[in-house]
Amino acid sequence: MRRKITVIFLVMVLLVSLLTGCGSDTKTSSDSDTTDGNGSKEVVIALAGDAQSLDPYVLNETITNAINNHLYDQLVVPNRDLEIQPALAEDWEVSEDALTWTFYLREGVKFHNGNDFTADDVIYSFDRSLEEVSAFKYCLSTVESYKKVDDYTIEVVCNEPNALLLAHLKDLMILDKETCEGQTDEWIALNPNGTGRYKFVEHRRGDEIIFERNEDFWGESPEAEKVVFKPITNASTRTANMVSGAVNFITDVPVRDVESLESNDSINIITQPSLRVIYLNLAGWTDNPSPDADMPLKSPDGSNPFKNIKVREAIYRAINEDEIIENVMNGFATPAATYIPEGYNGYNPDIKRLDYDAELAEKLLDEAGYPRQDDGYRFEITLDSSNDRYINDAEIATAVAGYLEKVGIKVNLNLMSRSIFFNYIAGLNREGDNTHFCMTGWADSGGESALMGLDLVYSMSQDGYIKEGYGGVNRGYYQNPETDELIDRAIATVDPEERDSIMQEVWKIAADDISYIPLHFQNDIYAHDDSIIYHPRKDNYIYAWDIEFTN
Amino acid sequence: MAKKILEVRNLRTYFHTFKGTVKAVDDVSFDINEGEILGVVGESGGGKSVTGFSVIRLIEEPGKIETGEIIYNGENLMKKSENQMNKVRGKDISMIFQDPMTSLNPVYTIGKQIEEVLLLHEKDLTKSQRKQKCIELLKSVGISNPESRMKSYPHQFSGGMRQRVVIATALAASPKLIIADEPTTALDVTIQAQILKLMQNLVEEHGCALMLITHDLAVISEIADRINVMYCGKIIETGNTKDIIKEYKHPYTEGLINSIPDLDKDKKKLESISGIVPNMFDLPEGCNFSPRCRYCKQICKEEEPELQQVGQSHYIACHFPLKGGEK
Amino acid sequence: MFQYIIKRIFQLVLVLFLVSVLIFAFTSVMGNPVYLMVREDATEEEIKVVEEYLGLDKPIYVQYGVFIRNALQGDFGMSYMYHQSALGLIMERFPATLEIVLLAMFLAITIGIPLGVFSGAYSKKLFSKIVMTLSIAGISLPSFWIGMVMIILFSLTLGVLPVSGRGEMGTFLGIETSLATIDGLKHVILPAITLAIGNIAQIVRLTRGGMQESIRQDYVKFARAKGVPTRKVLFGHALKNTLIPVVTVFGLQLGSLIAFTTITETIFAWPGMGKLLIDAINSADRPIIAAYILFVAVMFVFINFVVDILYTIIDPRIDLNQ
Repeated sequence: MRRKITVIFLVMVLLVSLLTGCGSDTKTSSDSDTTDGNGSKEVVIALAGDAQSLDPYVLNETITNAINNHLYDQLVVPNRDLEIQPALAEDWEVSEDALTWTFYLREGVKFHNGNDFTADDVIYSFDRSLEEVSAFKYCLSTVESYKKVDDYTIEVVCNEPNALLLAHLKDLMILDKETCEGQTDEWIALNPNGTGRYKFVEHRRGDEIIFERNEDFWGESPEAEKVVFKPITNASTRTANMVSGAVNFITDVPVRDVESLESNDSINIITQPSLRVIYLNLAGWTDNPSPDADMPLKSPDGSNPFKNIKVREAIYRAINEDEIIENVMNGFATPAATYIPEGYNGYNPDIKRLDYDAELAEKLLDEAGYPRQDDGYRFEITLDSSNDRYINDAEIATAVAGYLEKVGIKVNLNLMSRSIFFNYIAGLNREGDNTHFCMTGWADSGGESALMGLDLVYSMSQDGYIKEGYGGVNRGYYQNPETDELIDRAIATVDPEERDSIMQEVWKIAADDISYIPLHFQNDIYAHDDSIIYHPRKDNYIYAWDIEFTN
Repeated sequence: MAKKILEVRNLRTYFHTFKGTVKAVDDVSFDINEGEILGVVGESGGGKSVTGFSVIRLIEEPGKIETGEIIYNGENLMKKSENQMNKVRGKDISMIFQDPMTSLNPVYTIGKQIEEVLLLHEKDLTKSQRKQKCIELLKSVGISNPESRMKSYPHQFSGGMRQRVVIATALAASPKLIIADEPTTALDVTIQAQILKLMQNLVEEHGCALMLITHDLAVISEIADRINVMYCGKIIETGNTKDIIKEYKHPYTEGLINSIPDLDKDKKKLESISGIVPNMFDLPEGCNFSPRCRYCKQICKEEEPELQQVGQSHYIACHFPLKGGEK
Repeated sequence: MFQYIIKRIFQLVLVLFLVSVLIFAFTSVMGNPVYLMVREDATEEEIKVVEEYLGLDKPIYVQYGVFIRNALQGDFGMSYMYHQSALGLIMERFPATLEIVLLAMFLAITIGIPLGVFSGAYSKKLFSKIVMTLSIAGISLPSFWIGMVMIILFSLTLGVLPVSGRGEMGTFLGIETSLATIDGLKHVILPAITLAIGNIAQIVRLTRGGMQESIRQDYVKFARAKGVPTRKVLFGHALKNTLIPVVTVFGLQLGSLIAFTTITETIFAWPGMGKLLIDAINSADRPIIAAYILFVAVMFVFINFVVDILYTIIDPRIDLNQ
């Protein structure tokens, strides 16, 4: 008797879950009003995480930065298409030799507590950005000295011709010297005081952040008078909040929820390719790849197959990227031919992806001198990847391994959690030279491919920097004096168009050399209700002033 | 003419187990008069305890009182609801259990457990009056330092002391009838006599009747006024103590009496009743005692004997009553 | 009794010491947290500076020594990620966790014990069998599933309760808590139920088992013979005797709940300690992890202590000094 009841009960449980799962006509409450009791315009935004700190210097991370950008301003800011615009610096001049920059600051700007914004605040902020606590030391890494010329003029001298100083300065938010000087870091984090479009109201950590519009803002006033950010890390809960109408806007919509959200009339989906490209690094410029690896590269004759461009091309062609986008990313990704996204400075439309061709891949491998051995494999490699950092990273890596296995390459799939992964592949091989083949992602919100070139393809050796600070993420040890020279030139070139054509050449060479294998650009997916209109940004920063109200 | 305080008529209590039905009490009828001590004697499993529990309707699954009337003070207890029965239990009729080690709740003080009876049945006492009464009760059952011992827990008492507490509990609400189920069986022999004496005195003092259930005929013969002998769920002999002890007529009673060791006589072997108690699921046809009876005849195996009068208030259920008499 | 307390305090210190050593040993294999705090293309210098700033450049036993020295003064270090006092962060989030935990335990007791008592006393009835089957479901169903179903049912389909988050705060007896407002209660009820279901099921089964045994005891029959009404027999006499294992399990559950509300807090975006912990683990934020685990260790020891004291109140036969 008891067993019968158990069975009946479990069947009912299954039925209930099936029904509730299938139910597509879920009621949405009329909560999607964007006006609160007083009729003021309010928007509620659900993010995938909380601001780690309201001290803008503590952590360099997308969500934290985006939230702090509401409170603070920088000297210059990127617009939606990542072009640099004046902000607290109204105008600037660069010397002919690209060494000296002069900034003319905006007058009449006030901090939230009423203090005036002057050059002293900029100097103070620069100083602080170089302190221990700061994660923004790189902003002034190319700067030799800076000084105040007068209350509204700053002079910055670089140690090398640097046409790209603004790409770094755009990350540096300006604090009020009078308020912050002498206070502890903890105090600064709990008492944010900036010049930005919004003022701080409340931060209940992990629950919500509330801002209200700064009526004395120096620039164009945003429509939303009150902004509430809700950090909701669990994607399903975020989606549920959207459906129930508790929030007006959600980010990072998981691909599986897109269809059901779209079927809801009052919810709109916005998607666009992000800046983040997922790609494979191969240690192709060394005879001794990853000596510290747990599972090292093994080839029949002891050589490094990655050194041979035919092998690299074979690996590229063995992967069916379209299938990956279709099946793993549910169509929400854009195939990448290069690191550089479309519309970026330095984007070269002539660089195309190599087509998927498994047969050709096998032929190339044979030609390269790595025929199948008795066990059917040509050589053995290890694919290192994270499993919780990029969208569906574990699945993508698994798919890649599968494709390679099909053409006779034995792949050990080594998936790790992000905190261990980034340790494992740490730049400059600080934690050992562990990887010869890994999958990572890269997104540079700077809009300057010269800087990307500096990091990704500038010559790098297994033993350390060739040029100090250059090639930090060049995991393949790609070395090419030609591209080095081009990159150096680009950095010193002030004219953006000229810079653009120089970098296009760089990327063409890098692609021809198959110095890395690009896979795809992730898509950013947002959802919002029809009380608002949203203009997304290329860098996935969510700003309340990109939101307009429909009524 | 003694007033009847309890009349039991045709009581049948059966246990319905998955192996079959056990007729633990099978058509039993008896009376108890005011202030008298009725002894109910027989072997283990004979139905004595079940009879006692049936009187206050404390029979649980799989047992059930099938039929019968239990008339206490003119009212049929079988017709009362559970709530009404709870007013009878502990107040009009109370019970003393066999094992003092387990009768008391180990997590409450003995004072509290006695007080519970007063809280239930003597509601108009004040707190201090209750306390006073508890102390008196403990004194009356022979416990020294009752004020301090009230706060003790059962595990701090010996077996004999605990039984005294149980007796005190049974007497607390001044019942008219106490059912004592093997009250001394679990105690040391030396304590047994004490407790029995105590019970006898108290019962006389309070003027209540006592139904003393035991397998020990020697104990019964000391203090009971009348005796019921039960075997396999039936009363097979009943009468005054004197009659039963000196002029028994049933072979089973003869067996019981003969098996009492007699220190005065010189004997090599202890006498016992041959055979064992039958399987209650498979009672014999005819007289239940027939397989073990040395006087068994053919009719005994076929027909169940009815109770018949063999003397003044002396009844037995046997086809061939003995001549009776002392050995 | 005084001696006993001293003994327990000494045990607490020992436990904390052992736990702290274990924390350090385990987190040292977790990987260097620096790489999650600097940008991917950070230079050697940048990394070095951060390491020095956090004290990660010193050998592990020196780090441990510094940690202990600070801990004894109540300072558990600054969180690597938040740059705020680790203990401060935990204490900030603790009240939120406590709200759902207390409500969950309250539900566990008020629902679990009566259900257990009745299904134990009347174990043959249909009601009892239904309760037992439901309790199996309660123990086996994972909390994230229960949480999701709750949200779908109550928030989306019926629309009567909010999906996630903590409600408005109010004051009650001078303490600020979201339990003091209707809005707060609306927000807290689903996560509390999600947490409670497993506990209710356990308590029901435990109580029922104990009751089934207690019911058979002589003292229960004796109480009946005294005329004690059924309800009092069950809850007064029988239940008190079954409480010892129930109280033990209750103490363990309470400790577990405080420590591991992570999944429920993530599903319901509840700003409690559990969420803080999982984020800290993902970021290899050792000060928070260390402070958290030590805090939980103190909780467990304290709860166990209270449970032991409760034993003596429930069952006077128990002597703690043995």
